[in-house]
This record gives sequence, C-alpha cells and structure tokens, in this order.
Amino acid sequence: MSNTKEFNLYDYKDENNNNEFEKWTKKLQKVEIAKLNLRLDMLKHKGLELFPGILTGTPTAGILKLRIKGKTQLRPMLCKGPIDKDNEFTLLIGAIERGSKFIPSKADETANARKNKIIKNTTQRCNHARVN
Amino acid sequence: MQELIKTLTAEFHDKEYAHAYMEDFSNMATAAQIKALREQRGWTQKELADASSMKQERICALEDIDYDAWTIKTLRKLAKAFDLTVKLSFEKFSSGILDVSKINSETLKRTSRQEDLKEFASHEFGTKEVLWSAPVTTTRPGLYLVQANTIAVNDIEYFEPSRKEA
Repeated sequence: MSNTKEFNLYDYKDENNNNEFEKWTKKLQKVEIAKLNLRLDMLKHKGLELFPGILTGTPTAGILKLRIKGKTQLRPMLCKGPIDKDNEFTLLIGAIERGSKFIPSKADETANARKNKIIKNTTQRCNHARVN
Repeated sequence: MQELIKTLTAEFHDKEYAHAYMEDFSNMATAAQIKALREQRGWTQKELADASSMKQERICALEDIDYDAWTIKTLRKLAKAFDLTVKLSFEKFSSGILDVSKINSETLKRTSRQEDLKEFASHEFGTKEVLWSAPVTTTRPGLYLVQANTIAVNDIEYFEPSRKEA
C-alpha cells in the first residue's frame, strides 16, 4: 500500500445544523454520486499530487471547484482548510455550471462567505457525510 | 486505506454505481499514467506528440482526467512512443478496488523495453524480480491473500509448524 498522506474532508453546516452539501448530494443521480465519490476519495487519499487537475479555481480567490463531467456539469465548491490548510478540505456548496454560469448564481461567493463563517466558528462544519 | 477498500466493497454491490465509479477511475488513471510516463522520460507534451505522431493539443487533451473517448489505436500509438506494450484485460471489481487503493505516481511509471529486458534477464527472467519483496515465510497452512505484484509466488516458502529449521 502507498504511504501517501491522507487529508480530512469536512462539510459546511448552516446555523440550524443542516448539512447542505449532503442534502445537495442526495438529489444527484447514482452515476453522478459515484463520480463525485471517486473524486473525493482521490482527494482524501491521494491529495493533489496524482490528479492536480481534479480541482480548478473559481473567480473567487481561495474557492476551488471539483469538475465532474456528465449530462449536468457538477461543480461542487470547496476550500483548502480553512483551519488547517495543509491537511484538510471543506466542502462548502453544491453547484452546477451551465453556459459558463454557476447555478446557484454566485455560488463561489456564497462558498467564500461560508468559509469565513467556519473560520469564525469551527462548529459550522462536520466530518464529510458520504452519500451512496 | 483499508477503510476505502471496505467502503468500496460495500458500495459496489450496486451495479450502476460500481460501473460508473470504475469507468471514471479508469479514465483518470489512464490520463495520469500518460502524464507520469511522459514526465518519467523527461519529455514535454510536444516531444511526446512528435514521438507519437500526434499534435501537442491532443496530448494535452489525453492528459486531462476528464477525457473519456479512449481508443485502442491511440493507446497503441502512445505505447509505441513510450516503448511499452498495452495490456488490455477484463478484471474483477475486487481487483479494481485494489487498483484504486494502490494508485500513486510511482505505480504508474514503467521502464522502457531495452532497459526493462536488460533488467529482466539479469534477474533470471522474473524468478527473482528486483521489484518484488524479500521471501515471505509462513507457518500457516493457509495463505489467504497474496498481492502478486508485490510478492513473487515462487518466493513464498511454507514450513511445517512441526518441522524444525536446521
């Protein structure tokens, strides 16, 4: 087995303790969930060394998107950290991309606002909830 | 990593999910291996493009983890450029799960033909492959899991529990 470093994955939680990323994922098709889980598995267990293209930037600095190709272009957004930038990623919002626009609109800005909330209050996140 | 293996083993009871996961993994791994092999040889995308009679833009597309339109013809062109052979086979899902768990930039690298054959001959044609681990000795009558790419089967020795070593 490889000794590659592993990363911790977290999900943003709103003020009412709702895991919005989990809710978004549960609405996806099974094939989309499989593709999302594969990318998250690679991110968690292999980091960015093997598949650097797995994450790309968004117009908002510090907010990254996972690219998942399919009938619908899924663009879940996340950030490194934000508490421990070398060892963790936090999933902030589920989004799709259509015609170079994010749905929900300004998803990257919303993701950034959520990231800042987590920095102020670390209880606004939980361990990533895997959906299958 | 054991946790991932257990998770996938449970999830892969769903056929649609299992096929989608492994198909996507196969695409990503192929793209990553082309990049790893190119970098192992110290080549730019342009150099690989020249060696495989393709355009640099095409190499760039093939190294994109989202690429999903592979053809055997393209893979063979790349294999010839890298001086490797393409091995196509149908595999069990358990084998796929182990591939997912083991993949890293080192496991994707391959030595080119001449160097490989020289090494192969110097290690008694695979019976003492240098990449394989040291001999494994077991006193257990049953050995349940052997990763063939890690342990040479002919290097496993079995000792009767009652037999005393000289």
